Amino acid sequence: MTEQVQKTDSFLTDKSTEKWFYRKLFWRQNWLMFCTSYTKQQAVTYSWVLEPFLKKIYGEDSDGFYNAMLRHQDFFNTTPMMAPFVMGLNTSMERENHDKGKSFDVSSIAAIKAALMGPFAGLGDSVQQGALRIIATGIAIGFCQKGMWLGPLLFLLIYNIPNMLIRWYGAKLGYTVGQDFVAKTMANGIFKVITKAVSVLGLMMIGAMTAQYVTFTTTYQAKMAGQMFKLQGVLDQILPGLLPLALVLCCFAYLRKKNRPVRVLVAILVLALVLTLLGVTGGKAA
Amino acid sequence: MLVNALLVGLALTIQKWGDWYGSLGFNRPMVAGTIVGILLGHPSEGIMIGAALELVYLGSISLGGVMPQDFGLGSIFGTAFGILLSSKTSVAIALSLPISMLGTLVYQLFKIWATALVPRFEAHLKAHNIKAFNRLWQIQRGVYLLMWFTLGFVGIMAGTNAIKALVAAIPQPIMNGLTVAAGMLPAVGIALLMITLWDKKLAPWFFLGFGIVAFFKGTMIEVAFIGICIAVLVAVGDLANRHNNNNATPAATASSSDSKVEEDFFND
Repeated sequence: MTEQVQKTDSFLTDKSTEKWFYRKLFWRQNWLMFCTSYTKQQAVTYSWVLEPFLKKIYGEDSDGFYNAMLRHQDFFNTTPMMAPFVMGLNTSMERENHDKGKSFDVSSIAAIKAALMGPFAGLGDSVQQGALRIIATGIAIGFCQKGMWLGPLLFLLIYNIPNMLIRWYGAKLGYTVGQDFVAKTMANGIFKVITKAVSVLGLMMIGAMTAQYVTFTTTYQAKMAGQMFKLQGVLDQILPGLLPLALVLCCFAYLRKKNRPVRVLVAILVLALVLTLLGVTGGKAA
Repeated sequence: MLVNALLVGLALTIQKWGDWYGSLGFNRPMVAGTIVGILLGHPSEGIMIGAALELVYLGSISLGGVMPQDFGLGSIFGTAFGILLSSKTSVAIALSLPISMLGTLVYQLFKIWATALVPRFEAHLKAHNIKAFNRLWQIQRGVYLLMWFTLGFVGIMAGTNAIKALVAAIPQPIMNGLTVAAGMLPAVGIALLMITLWDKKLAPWFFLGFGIVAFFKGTMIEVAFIGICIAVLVAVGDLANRHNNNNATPAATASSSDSKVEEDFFND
Protein backbone atom coordinates (compact mmCIF):
# COMPACT_ATOMS: atom_id res chain seq x y z
CA MET A 1 0.00 0.00 0.00
CA THR A 2 2.79 2.42 0.87
CA GLU A 3 4.47 1.77 -2.49
CA GLN A 4 1.35 2.88 -4.28
CA VAL A 5 1.24 6.05 -2.23
CA GLN A 6 4.80 6.90 -3.11
CA LYS A 7 4.15 6.54 -6.82
CA THR A 8 1.04 8.67 -7.12
CA ASP A 9 1.02 10.96 -4.09
CA SER A 10 1.51 14.64 -4.80
CA PHE A 11 1.40 15.52 -1.11
CA LEU A 12 3.61 12.92 0.57
CA THR A 13 6.19 13.17 -2.17
CA ASP A 14 9.04 11.46 -0.35
CA LYS A 15 9.82 9.46 2.77
CA SER A 16 10.76 12.47 4.89
CA THR A 17 7.53 14.32 4.07
CA GLU A 18 5.62 11.20 4.96
CA LYS A 19 7.39 11.03 8.32
CA TRP A 20 6.80 14.73 8.88
CA PHE A 21 3.09 14.37 8.10
CA TYR A 22 2.35 11.45 10.40
CA ARG A 23 4.39 12.81 13.27
CA LYS A 24 2.97 16.31 13.00
CA LEU A 25 -0.56 14.97 12.71
CA PHE A 26 -0.02 12.77 15.73
CA TRP A 27 1.20 15.60 17.97
CA ARG A 28 -1.42 18.04 16.79
CA GLN A 29 -4.44 15.74 16.97
CA ASN A 30 -3.82 15.18 20.70
CA TRP A 31 -5.01 18.75 21.23
CA LEU A 32 -8.39 18.08 19.63
CA MET A 33 -10.45 18.70 22.77
CA PHE A 34 -8.96 22.21 23.29
CA CYS A 35 -11.41 23.91 23.23
CA THR A 36 -14.85 22.63 22.41
CA SER A 37 -17.86 24.90 21.94
CA TYR A 38 -21.56 24.28 22.24
CA THR A 39 -22.25 25.14 18.62
CA LYS A 40 -19.38 23.45 16.77
CA GLN A 41 -17.85 21.13 19.38
CA GLN A 42 -14.39 20.13 18.11
CA ALA A 43 -14.61 21.92 14.76
CA VAL A 44 -12.28 24.89 15.36
CA THR A 45 -9.45 22.72 16.64
CA TYR A 46 -10.10 20.14 13.94
CA SER A 47 -9.24 22.78 11.36
CA TRP A 48 -6.28 23.89 13.47
CA VAL A 49 -4.92 20.32 13.41
CA LEU A 50 -5.14 20.16 9.63
CA GLU A 51 -3.74 23.66 9.10
CA PRO A 52 -0.10 22.83 8.21
CA PHE A 53 -1.17 20.07 5.82
CA LEU A 54 -3.73 22.22 4.05
CA LYS A 55 -1.05 24.89 3.80
CA LYS A 56 1.29 22.46 2.10
CA ILE A 57 -1.38 21.11 -0.25
CA TYR A 58 -2.87 24.41 -1.39
CA GLY A 59 0.03 26.76 -0.78
CA GLU A 60 0.45 29.39 1.89
CA ASP A 61 -2.15 32.17 1.96
CA SER A 62 -3.88 30.82 -1.13
CA ASP A 63 -7.65 30.97 -1.60
CA GLY A 64 -7.71 27.21 -1.72
CA PHE A 65 -6.14 27.06 1.73
CA TYR A 66 -8.65 29.45 3.30
CA ASN A 67 -11.57 27.74 1.60
CA ALA A 68 -10.36 24.44 2.99
CA MET A 69 -9.98 25.90 6.49
CA LEU A 70 -13.51 27.30 6.31
CA ARG A 71 -14.78 23.96 5.08
CA HIS A 72 -13.53 22.36 8.28
CA GLN A 73 -15.40 24.80 10.52
CA ASP A 74 -18.42 22.51 10.23
CA PHE A 75 -19.72 20.88 13.38
CA PHE A 76 -17.59 17.93 14.36
CA ASN A 77 -17.78 15.71 17.41
CA THR A 78 -16.49 12.23 17.97
CA THR A 79 -14.38 10.26 20.41
CA PRO A 80 -10.97 12.00 20.16
CA MET A 81 -9.25 8.63 19.88
CA MET A 82 -11.13 7.95 16.62
CA ALA A 83 -10.57 11.38 15.06
CA PRO A 84 -7.08 10.79 13.54
CA PHE A 85 -8.56 8.31 11.08
CA VAL A 86 -10.99 10.95 9.84
CA MET A 87 -8.19 13.52 9.73
CA GLY A 88 -5.97 11.26 7.67
CA LEU A 89 -8.83 10.49 5.33
CA ASN A 90 -9.74 14.17 5.00
CA THR A 91 -6.13 15.09 4.20
CA SER A 92 -6.00 12.56 1.39
CA MET A 93 -9.31 13.92 0.07
CA GLU A 94 -8.06 17.50 0.20
CA ARG A 95 -5.05 16.39 -1.80
CA GLU A 96 -7.33 14.74 -4.33
CA ASN A 97 -9.42 17.89 -4.48
CA HIS A 98 -6.35 19.96 -5.20
CA ASP A 99 -5.07 17.53 -7.84
CA LYS A 100 -8.32 16.96 -9.67
CA GLY A 101 -9.78 20.43 -9.41
CA LYS A 102 -13.38 20.73 -10.54
CA SER A 103 -13.85 17.06 -11.27
CA PHE A 104 -13.69 16.36 -7.53
CA ASP A 105 -16.85 16.72 -5.49
CA VAL A 106 -15.79 19.01 -2.62
CA SER A 107 -18.92 18.38 -0.59
CA SER A 108 -17.80 14.78 -0.09
CA ILE A 109 -15.12 16.01 2.34
CA ALA A 110 -17.68 17.36 4.80
CA ALA A 111 -20.07 14.53 4.02
CA ILE A 112 -17.63 11.80 5.03
CA LYS A 113 -16.89 13.62 8.31
CA ALA A 114 -20.57 13.86 9.09
CA ALA A 115 -21.10 10.24 8.14
CA LEU A 116 -18.22 8.92 10.23
CA MET A 117 -18.41 10.92 13.46
CA GLY A 118 -21.57 9.25 14.76
CA PRO A 119 -20.62 5.60 14.29
CA PHE A 120 -17.04 6.37 15.37
CA ALA A 121 -18.23 8.02 18.58
CA GLY A 122 -20.35 4.98 19.39
CA LEU A 123 -17.48 2.65 18.66
CA GLY A 124 -14.82 4.76 20.35
CA ASP A 125 -16.77 5.45 23.53
CA SER A 126 -17.65 1.83 24.03
CA VAL A 127 -14.06 0.70 23.42
CA GLN A 128 -12.43 3.43 25.50
CA GLN A 129 -14.90 4.11 28.29
CA GLY A 130 -16.91 0.91 28.40
CA ALA A 131 -14.12 -1.61 28.01
CA LEU A 132 -10.55 -0.27 28.12
CA ARG A 133 -10.97 2.04 31.09
CA ILE A 134 -12.92 -0.48 33.13
CA ILE A 135 -10.38 -3.24 32.53
CA ALA A 136 -7.47 -0.92 33.35
CA THR A 137 -9.20 0.28 36.51
CA GLY A 138 -10.09 -3.24 37.57
CA ILE A 139 -6.45 -4.28 37.37
CA ALA A 140 -5.00 -1.13 38.94
CA ILE A 141 -7.38 -0.34 41.77
CA GLY A 142 -6.15 -3.06 44.12
CA PHE A 143 -2.60 -1.68 44.00
CA CYS A 144 -3.90 1.86 44.47
CA GLN A 145 -5.84 0.90 47.58
CA LYS A 146 -2.55 -0.22 49.11
CA GLY A 147 -0.98 3.10 48.13
CA MET A 148 1.39 1.46 45.67
CA TRP A 149 2.96 3.32 42.74
CA LEU A 150 2.26 0.38 40.50
CA GLY A 151 -1.48 1.18 40.61
CA PRO A 152 -1.64 4.51 38.77
CA LEU A 153 1.27 3.43 36.56
CA LEU A 154 -0.49 0.26 35.42
CA PHE A 155 -3.70 2.16 34.83
CA LEU A 156 -2.00 4.75 32.62
CA LEU A 157 -0.13 2.10 30.63
CA ILE A 158 -3.05 -0.28 30.04
CA TYR A 159 -5.34 2.61 29.17
CA ASN A 160 -3.01 4.66 27.02
CA ILE A 161 -1.00 2.17 24.97
CA PRO A 162 -4.04 1.06 22.93
CA ASN A 163 -5.29 4.67 22.96
CA MET A 164 -2.08 5.93 21.32
CA LEU A 165 -1.73 2.98 18.92
CA ILE A 166 -5.27 3.54 17.64
CA ARG A 167 -4.48 7.22 17.07
CA TRP A 168 -1.16 6.59 15.29
CA TYR A 169 -2.33 3.78 13.03
CA GLY A 170 -5.77 5.33 12.62
CA ALA A 171 -4.19 8.35 10.94
CA LYS A 172 -2.09 6.16 8.64
CA LEU A 173 -5.02 3.96 7.76
CA GLY A 174 -7.27 6.95 7.16
CA TYR A 175 -4.78 8.51 4.76
CA THR A 176 -4.07 5.35 2.80
CA VAL A 177 -7.44 3.61 2.42
CA GLY A 178 -9.27 6.46 0.69
CA GLN A 179 -12.90 7.46 0.74
CA ASP A 180 -14.15 4.89 -1.75
CA PHE A 181 -13.06 2.15 0.57
CA VAL A 182 -14.71 3.84 3.56
CA ALA A 183 -17.95 4.34 1.68
CA LYS A 184 -17.90 0.71 0.62
CA THR A 185 -17.11 -0.48 4.12
CA MET A 186 -19.94 1.57 5.57
CA ALA A 187 -22.32 0.30 2.93
CA ASN A 188 -21.49 -3.34 3.49
CA GLY A 189 -22.07 -2.96 7.20
CA ILE A 190 -18.73 -3.90 8.75
CA PHE A 191 -18.86 -0.87 11.06
CA LYS A 192 -22.20 -2.05 12.33
CA VAL A 193 -20.79 -5.48 13.04
CA ILE A 194 -17.83 -4.09 15.01
CA THR A 195 -19.92 -1.54 16.86
CA LYS A 196 -22.44 -4.18 17.82
CA ALA A 197 -19.77 -6.53 19.10
CA VAL A 198 -18.12 -3.80 21.17
CA SER A 199 -21.51 -2.65 22.45
CA VAL A 200 -22.14 -6.18 23.69
CA LEU A 201 -18.88 -6.06 25.63
CA GLY A 202 -19.59 -2.52 26.84
CA LEU A 203 -23.08 -3.37 28.02
CA MET A 204 -21.80 -6.41 29.90
CA MET A 205 -19.15 -4.28 31.57
CA ILE A 206 -21.61 -1.62 32.68
CA GLY A 207 -24.01 -4.29 33.87
CA ALA A 208 -21.14 -5.61 35.96
CA MET A 209 -20.31 -2.08 37.13
CA THR A 210 -23.88 -1.66 38.27
CA ALA A 211 -23.59 -4.67 40.54
CA GLN A 212 -20.05 -3.94 41.68
CA TYR A 213 -19.81 -0.21 42.15
CA VAL A 214 -23.27 1.18 42.80
CA THR A 215 -23.72 0.84 46.56
CA PHE A 216 -27.31 1.16 47.66
CA THR A 217 -28.17 -0.98 50.63
CA THR A 218 -30.68 -0.48 53.40
CA THR A 219 -29.82 -0.79 57.08
CA TYR A 220 -33.39 -0.68 58.38
CA GLN A 221 -34.32 -3.29 60.91
CA ALA A 222 -37.14 -3.68 63.42
CA LYS A 223 -38.57 -6.25 65.77
CA MET A 224 -41.79 -7.62 64.42
CA ALA A 225 -43.83 -10.26 66.19
CA GLY A 226 -40.78 -11.24 68.15
CA GLN A 227 -38.67 -11.72 65.03
CA MET A 228 -35.92 -9.50 63.71
CA PHE A 229 -37.00 -7.94 60.43
CA LYS A 230 -34.12 -6.87 58.22
CA LEU A 231 -35.19 -5.00 55.11
CA GLN A 232 -31.97 -5.72 53.20
CA GLY A 233 -32.26 -9.44 53.91
CA VAL A 234 -35.69 -9.49 52.28
CA LEU A 235 -34.46 -7.47 49.31
CA ASP A 236 -31.50 -9.80 48.83
CA GLN A 237 -33.84 -12.76 48.80
CA ILE A 238 -35.87 -11.19 46.00
CA LEU A 239 -32.78 -10.39 43.92
CA PRO A 240 -29.22 -9.60 44.98
CA GLY A 241 -28.36 -6.08 43.89
CA LEU A 242 -32.00 -5.19 43.33
CA LEU A 243 -31.70 -1.59 44.55
CA PRO A 244 -28.58 -0.64 42.52
CA LEU A 245 -30.16 -2.18 39.42
CA ALA A 246 -33.42 -0.31 39.95
CA LEU A 247 -31.54 2.94 40.57
CA VAL A 248 -29.49 2.64 37.38
CA LEU A 249 -32.54 1.73 35.30
CA CYS A 250 -34.51 4.67 36.72
CA CYS A 251 -31.65 7.10 35.93
CA PHE A 252 -31.34 5.58 32.47
CA ALA A 253 -35.07 5.84 31.73
CA TYR A 254 -35.15 9.47 32.85
CA LEU A 255 -31.93 10.56 31.14
CA ARG A 256 -32.93 8.97 27.86
CA LYS A 257 -36.10 11.05 27.78
CA LYS A 258 -34.69 14.25 29.25
CA ASN A 259 -30.98 14.88 29.14
CA ARG A 260 -30.68 16.61 32.52
CA PRO A 261 -27.96 14.81 34.46
CA VAL A 262 -27.52 17.55 37.06
CA ARG A 263 -31.15 17.19 38.14
CA VAL A 264 -30.61 13.47 38.62
CA LEU A 265 -27.51 14.13 40.71
CA VAL A 266 -29.36 16.53 42.99
CA ALA A 267 -32.31 14.15 43.23
CA ILE A 268 -29.98 11.34 44.34
CA LEU A 269 -28.31 13.56 46.95
CA VAL A 270 -31.71 14.52 48.36
CA LEU A 271 -32.94 10.93 48.27
CA ALA A 272 -29.84 9.72 50.10
CA LEU A 273 -30.17 12.40 52.79
CA VAL A 274 -33.89 11.78 53.30
CA LEU A 275 -33.50 8.02 53.45
CA THR A 276 -30.65 8.37 55.91
CA LEU A 277 -32.57 10.78 58.16
CA LEU A 278 -35.52 8.36 58.08
CA GLY A 279 -33.16 5.62 59.20
CA VAL A 280 -33.61 3.45 56.12
CA THR A 281 -30.01 3.75 54.96
CA GLY A 282 -26.66 4.81 56.36
CA GLY A 283 -27.05 3.25 59.79
CA LYS A 284 -24.74 0.61 61.20
CA ALA A 285 -24.58 -2.36 58.86
CA ALA A 286 -27.40 -4.72 59.70
CA MET B 1 -0.35 27.79 52.66
CA LEU B 2 0.83 29.88 49.72
CA VAL B 3 3.13 27.12 48.49
CA ASN B 4 0.43 24.48 48.91
CA ALA B 5 -2.06 26.64 47.04
CA LEU B 6 0.39 27.09 44.17
CA LEU B 7 1.06 23.35 44.08
CA VAL B 8 -2.63 22.44 44.02
CA GLY B 9 -3.14 25.00 41.25
CA LEU B 10 -0.38 23.26 39.31
CA ALA B 11 -1.87 19.84 40.04
CA LEU B 12 -5.25 20.95 38.74
CA THR B 13 -3.66 22.37 35.59
CA ILE B 14 -1.76 19.15 34.90
CA GLN B 15 -4.88 17.11 35.51
CA LYS B 16 -7.00 19.23 33.17
CA TRP B 17 -4.28 19.16 30.52
CA GLY B 18 -3.97 15.37 30.57
CA ASP B 19 -7.72 14.96 30.66
CA TRP B 20 -7.97 16.51 27.21
CA TYR B 21 -4.53 16.11 25.65
CA GLY B 22 -4.73 12.76 23.93
CA SER B 23 -7.40 11.71 26.46
CA LEU B 24 -4.58 10.43 28.67
CA GLY B 25 -7.00 9.66 31.47
CA PHE B 26 -5.62 12.18 33.99
CA ASN B 27 -9.18 13.03 34.94
CA ARG B 28 -9.59 9.66 36.64
CA PRO B 29 -9.52 10.13 40.41
CA MET B 30 -6.78 7.50 40.74
CA VAL B 31 -4.45 9.59 38.60
CA ALA B 32 -5.64 12.96 39.93
CA GLY B 33 -5.07 11.79 43.49
CA THR B 34 -1.59 10.61 42.57
CA ILE B 35 -0.70 13.97 41.02
CA VAL B 36 -1.82 15.93 44.09
CA GLY B 37 -0.11 13.43 46.37
CA ILE B 38 3.23 13.75 44.58
CA LEU B 39 3.12 17.54 44.53
CA LEU B 40 2.10 17.88 48.16
CA GLY B 41 4.73 15.36 49.21
CA HIS B 42 2.37 12.58 50.33
CA PRO B 43 2.30 10.27 47.31
CA SER B 44 0.96 7.12 48.93
CA GLU B 45 -1.82 8.99 50.76
CA GLY B 46 -2.71 10.62 47.45
CA ILE B 47 -2.88 7.27 45.69
CA MET B 48 -5.03 5.77 48.44
CA ILE B 49 -7.50 8.65 48.58
CA GLY B 50 -7.54 8.58 44.78
CA ALA B 51 -8.45 4.89 44.86
CA ALA B 52 -11.33 5.55 47.26
CA LEU B 53 -12.55 8.39 45.03
CA GLU B 54 -12.19 6.19 41.96
CA LEU B 55 -14.72 3.79 43.38
CA VAL B 56 -17.18 6.66 43.91
CA TYR B 57 -16.74 8.04 40.42
CA LEU B 58 -16.17 4.81 38.53
CA GLY B 59 -19.45 5.16 36.73
CA SER B 60 -18.82 8.82 36.00
CA ILE B 61 -17.48 9.72 32.62
CA SER B 62 -17.61 12.75 30.40
CA LEU B 63 -19.05 11.90 27.04
CA GLY B 64 -19.64 14.19 24.11
CA GLY B 65 -19.10 17.25 26.26
CA VAL B 66 -21.78 16.17 28.73
CA MET B 67 -20.20 16.27 32.13
CA PRO B 68 -22.67 15.90 34.99
CA GLN B 69 -19.88 15.98 37.55
CA ASP B 70 -16.39 17.36 37.19
CA PHE B 71 -14.98 14.42 39.08
CA GLY B 72 -11.41 15.33 38.12
CA LEU B 73 -11.75 18.69 39.86
CA GLY B 74 -13.60 17.08 42.76
CA SER B 75 -10.80 14.53 43.14
CA ILE B 76 -8.06 17.15 43.11
CA PHE B 77 -9.70 19.22 45.84
CA GLY B 78 -10.95 16.20 47.78
CA THR B 79 -7.45 14.69 47.87
CA ALA B 80 -5.81 18.04 48.57
CA PHE B 81 -8.06 18.81 51.55
CA GLY B 82 -7.77 15.23 52.70
CA ILE B 83 -3.97 15.55 52.80
CA LEU B 84 -3.78 19.15 54.06
CA LEU B 85 -6.33 18.68 56.86
CA SER B 86 -5.05 15.12 57.43
CA SER B 87 -8.61 13.95 57.66
CA LYS B 88 -10.35 10.68 56.93
CA THR B 89 -10.95 9.40 53.42
CA SER B 90 -14.70 9.71 53.93
CA VAL B 91 -14.22 13.45 54.48
CA ALA B 92 -12.29 13.68 51.21
CA ILE B 93 -15.15 11.92 49.44
CA ALA B 94 -17.81 14.06 51.08
CA LEU B 95 -15.94 17.23 50.08
CA SER B 96 -15.32 16.16 46.53
CA LEU B 97 -19.02 15.56 45.82
CA PRO B 98 -20.33 19.15 46.04
CA ILE B 99 -17.07 20.49 44.55
CA SER B 100 -17.38 18.21 41.54
CA MET B 101 -20.90 19.45 40.95
CA LEU B 102 -19.91 23.10 41.29
CA GLY B 103 -16.98 22.43 38.96
CA THR B 104 -19.27 21.78 36.03
CA LEU B 105 -20.54 25.35 36.39
CA VAL B 106 -17.04 26.73 35.94
CA TYR B 107 -16.54 24.63 32.86
CA GLN B 108 -19.91 25.59 31.42
CA LEU B 109 -19.02 29.26 31.80
CA PHE B 110 -15.78 28.66 29.92
CA LYS B 111 -17.59 26.75 27.21
CA ILE B 112 -20.02 29.63 26.73
CA TRP B 113 -17.02 31.89 26.18
CA ALA B 114 -15.50 29.38 23.74
CA THR B 115 -18.81 29.28 21.89
CA ALA B 116 -18.85 33.07 21.64
CA LEU B 117 -15.39 32.90 20.04
CA VAL B 118 -16.45 30.55 17.23
CA PRO B 119 -17.70 33.30 14.89
CA ARG B 120 -14.47 35.20 15.44
CA PHE B 121 -12.39 32.22 14.32
CA GLU B 122 -14.48 32.10 11.18
CA ALA B 123 -14.20 35.83 10.63
CA HIS B 124 -10.40 35.60 10.81
CA LEU B 125 -10.42 32.89 8.14
CA LYS B 126 -12.76 34.88 5.92
CA ALA B 127 -10.41 37.83 6.25
CA HIS B 128 -7.56 35.49 5.18
CA ASN B 129 -5.77 36.14 8.45
CA ILE B 130 -4.35 32.82 9.59
CA LYS B 131 -2.05 34.49 12.11
CA ALA B 132 -4.97 35.97 14.02
CA PHE B 133 -6.72 32.60 13.84
CA ASN B 134 -3.73 30.85 15.37
CA ARG B 135 -3.25 33.55 17.98
CA LEU B 136 -6.86 33.29 19.09
CA TRP B 137 -6.52 29.53 19.34
CA GLN B 138 -3.42 29.86 21.53
CA ILE B 139 -5.19 32.41 23.74
CA GLN B 140 -8.15 30.10 24.14
CA ARG B 141 -5.94 27.22 25.16
CA GLY B 142 -3.93 29.43 27.52
CA VAL B 143 -7.04 30.81 29.21
CA TYR B 144 -8.39 27.32 29.66
CA LEU B 145 -5.29 26.10 31.49
CA LEU B 146 -4.78 29.33 33.43
CA MET B 147 -8.39 29.24 34.58
CA TRP B 148 -7.85 25.90 36.30
CA PHE B 149 -4.59 27.04 37.86
CA THR B 150 -6.32 30.08 39.32
CA LEU B 151 -9.23 28.01 40.55
CA GLY B 152 -6.92 25.56 42.31
CA PHE B 153 -4.87 28.35 43.87
CA VAL B 154 -7.83 30.41 45.07
CA GLY B 155 -9.71 27.32 46.23
CA ILE B 156 -6.92 26.32 48.60
CA MET B 157 -6.01 29.86 49.71
CA ALA B 158 -9.56 30.87 50.51
CA GLY B 159 -11.07 27.49 51.19
CA THR B 160 -8.83 25.60 53.59
CA ASN B 161 -9.89 27.31 56.82
CA ALA B 162 -13.51 27.53 55.76
CA ILE B 163 -13.54 23.86 54.80
CA LYS B 164 -11.92 22.96 58.11
CA ALA B 165 -14.69 24.76 59.99
CA LEU B 166 -17.33 23.31 57.70
CA VAL B 167 -16.15 19.74 58.13
CA ALA B 168 -16.23 20.19 61.89
CA ALA B 169 -19.72 21.68 61.69
CA ILE B 170 -21.38 19.04 59.49
CA PRO B 171 -23.70 17.00 61.70
CA GLN B 172 -23.11 13.25 61.68
CA PRO B 173 -26.46 12.28 60.04
CA ILE B 174 -25.76 14.59 57.09
CA MET B 175 -22.28 13.12 56.80
CA ASN B 176 -23.81 9.64 56.76
CA GLY B 177 -26.26 10.79 54.11
CA LEU B 178 -23.41 12.07 51.95
CA THR B 179 -21.62 8.75 52.28
CA VAL B 180 -24.79 6.95 51.15
CA ALA B 181 -25.09 9.37 48.24
CA ALA B 182 -21.47 8.69 47.28
CA GLY B 183 -22.37 5.03 46.86
CA MET B 184 -25.45 5.79 44.78
CA LEU B 185 -24.00 8.45 42.47
CA PRO B 186 -22.10 6.11 40.11
CA ALA B 187 -25.58 5.15 38.85
CA VAL B 188 -25.78 8.44 36.95
CA GLY B 189 -22.56 7.91 35.03
CA ILE B 190 -23.46 4.31 34.30
CA ALA B 191 -26.86 5.40 32.99
CA LEU B 192 -25.19 7.97 30.71
CA LEU B 193 -22.81 5.34 29.38
CA MET B 194 -25.76 3.02 28.81
CA ILE B 195 -27.51 5.60 26.65
CA THR B 196 -24.61 5.64 24.21
CA LEU B 197 -24.50 1.84 23.93
CA TRP B 198 -28.16 0.99 24.25
CA ASP B 199 -29.99 -1.11 21.74
CA LYS B 200 -33.14 -2.98 22.76
CA LYS B 201 -31.90 -6.16 21.14
CA LEU B 202 -28.66 -6.02 23.13
CA ALA B 203 -30.31 -5.38 26.52
CA PRO B 204 -29.87 -8.98 27.76
CA TRP B 205 -26.09 -8.56 27.72
CA PHE B 206 -26.37 -5.76 30.26
CA PHE B 207 -28.33 -8.04 32.58
CA LEU B 208 -25.91 -10.89 32.00
CA GLY B 209 -23.00 -8.69 33.09
CA PHE B 210 -25.00 -7.61 36.11
CA GLY B 211 -25.90 -11.19 36.97
CA ILE B 212 -22.34 -12.51 36.79
CA VAL B 213 -21.26 -10.02 39.46
CA ALA B 214 -24.44 -9.87 41.55
CA PHE B 215 -25.11 -13.62 41.75
CA PHE B 216 -21.73 -15.26 41.24
CA LYS B 217 -19.51 -12.52 42.76
CA GLY B 218 -17.52 -12.20 39.55
CA THR B 219 -14.87 -9.48 39.23
CA MET B 220 -14.66 -6.88 36.45
CA ILE B 221 -11.74 -8.76 34.89
CA GLU B 222 -13.74 -11.98 34.79
CA VAL B 223 -16.66 -10.23 33.15
CA ALA B 224 -14.30 -8.61 30.65
CA PHE B 225 -12.84 -12.03 29.80
CA ILE B 226 -16.25 -13.57 29.19
CA GLY B 227 -17.43 -10.40 27.46
CA ILE B 228 -14.60 -10.40 24.94
CA CYS B 229 -15.33 -14.04 24.05
CA ILE B 230 -19.00 -13.24 23.53
CA ALA B 231 -18.22 -10.09 21.52
CA VAL B 232 -16.01 -12.12 19.16
CA LEU B 233 -18.71 -14.77 18.81
CA VAL B 234 -21.29 -12.10 17.99
CA ALA B 235 -19.01 -10.48 15.41
CA VAL B 236 -18.12 -13.77 13.75
CA GLY B 237 -21.78 -14.75 13.60
CA ASP B 238 -22.78 -11.43 12.06
CA LEU B 239 -19.99 -11.55 9.50
CA ALA B 240 -21.07 -15.03 8.43
CA ASN B 241 -24.68 -13.85 8.14
CA ARG B 242 -23.63 -10.85 6.12
CA HIS B 243 -21.76 -13.02 3.64
CA ASN B 244 -24.71 -15.34 3.26
CA ASN B 245 -26.99 -12.40 2.59
CA ASN B 246 -24.53 -10.96 0.11
CA ASN B 247 -24.38 -14.22 -1.78
CA ALA B 248 -28.13 -14.57 -1.77
CA THR B 249 -28.77 -11.23 -3.44
CA PRO B 250 -28.00 -11.17 -7.15
CA ALA B 251 -26.72 -7.58 -6.99
CA ALA B 252 -23.95 -8.50 -4.60
CA THR B 253 -20.43 -8.23 -5.88
CA ALA B 254 -18.07 -11.15 -5.68
CA SER B 255 -17.68 -11.82 -1.99
CA SER B 256 -14.13 -13.09 -2.36
CA SER B 257 -12.84 -9.66 -3.30
CA ASP B 258 -14.88 -8.19 -0.47
CA SER B 259 -13.19 -10.29 2.14
CA LYS B 260 -9.79 -9.39 0.73
CA VAL B 261 -10.49 -5.71 1.30
CA GLU B 262 -11.58 -6.44 4.85
CA GLU B 263 -8.37 -8.24 5.56
CA ASP B 264 -6.47 -5.22 4.40
CA PHE B 265 -8.56 -3.06 6.68
CA PHE B 266 -7.66 -5.12 9.73
CA ASN B 267 -4.06 -5.85 8.89
CA ASP B 268 -2.90 -2.34 8.25
